[in-house]
Amino acid sequence: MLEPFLVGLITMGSMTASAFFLKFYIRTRDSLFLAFSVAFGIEALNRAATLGLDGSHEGSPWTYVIRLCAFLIILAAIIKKNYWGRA
Amino acid sequence: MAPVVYMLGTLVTLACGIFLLRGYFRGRKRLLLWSGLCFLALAVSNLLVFVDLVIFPEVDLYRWRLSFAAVGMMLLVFGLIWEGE
Amino acid sequence: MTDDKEIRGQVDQFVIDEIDSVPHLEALLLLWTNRPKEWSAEEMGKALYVESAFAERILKDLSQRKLAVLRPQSSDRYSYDAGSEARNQQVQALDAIYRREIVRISRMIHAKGSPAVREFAKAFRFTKDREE
Repeated sequence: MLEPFLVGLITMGSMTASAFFLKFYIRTRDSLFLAFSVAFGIEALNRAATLGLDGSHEGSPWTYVIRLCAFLIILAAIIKKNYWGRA
Repeated sequence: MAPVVYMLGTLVTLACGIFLLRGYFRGRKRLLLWSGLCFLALAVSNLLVFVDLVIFPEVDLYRWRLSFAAVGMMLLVFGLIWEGE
Repeated sequence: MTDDKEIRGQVDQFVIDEIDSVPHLEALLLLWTNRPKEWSAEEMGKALYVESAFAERILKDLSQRKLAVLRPQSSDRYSYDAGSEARNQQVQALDAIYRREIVRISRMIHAKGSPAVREFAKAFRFTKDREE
């Protein structure tokens, strides 16, 4: 009972964060914020998708691959910010 | 293969947390404090996935993994609403 | 004439890099034009027509950017930080230009977005650049 509630919290939190980061991107045009927005958006969908699986708690390996993609997007934006000219 | 994926996730979130907290101690903008703590909590959550599935497969840490991630997201949302202007 | 343009460009860059808001700018110029006068938060608040708590935050922000310096020995008053000659020239140029181009510069400041958000992005820079 607790676990789906936590998943819901995480999903909602990720979507909210994604929206805020999108706003920051529109205002500052800094692609770092776009990356965070996309990453948290992906994570929100990813988390919500786990509710469809059986409660094995192992999770599908895809869950972790998708999560890794989200974080690679952030990593790419950080690298771009530092090594690719301005912002 | 899978353990590498789990650890990479941990490292990225840990790095983000460290950057943000370092930035907070420099400029004292609270948004960086909350978001830094969020990423640290996410890093713990990611680390627990590794611990759960690789090191102690007989123990189920699912609730702990979720709890840390949930706390992290709540901190971030709180920080964004309060300080994000 | 091109000299003027260059100076304006430098002033603009200074504003983009260091000025968080219009009250911050006004406070900085007050510190500059009245230097080496020391200001308390209350005095600055009165001069800017803001609450002294707000003025206190502005003075703290300015001192973090090394534009103002806290003088604890004179009961926590702030004065302009004249440490860097390059800085002084920038502030002097800003002072000269601001009154003439107040609308343009205020617009530029407002377009920058909140300082917390900018600090967030800045936190992920770890290579040395002109910035920082």
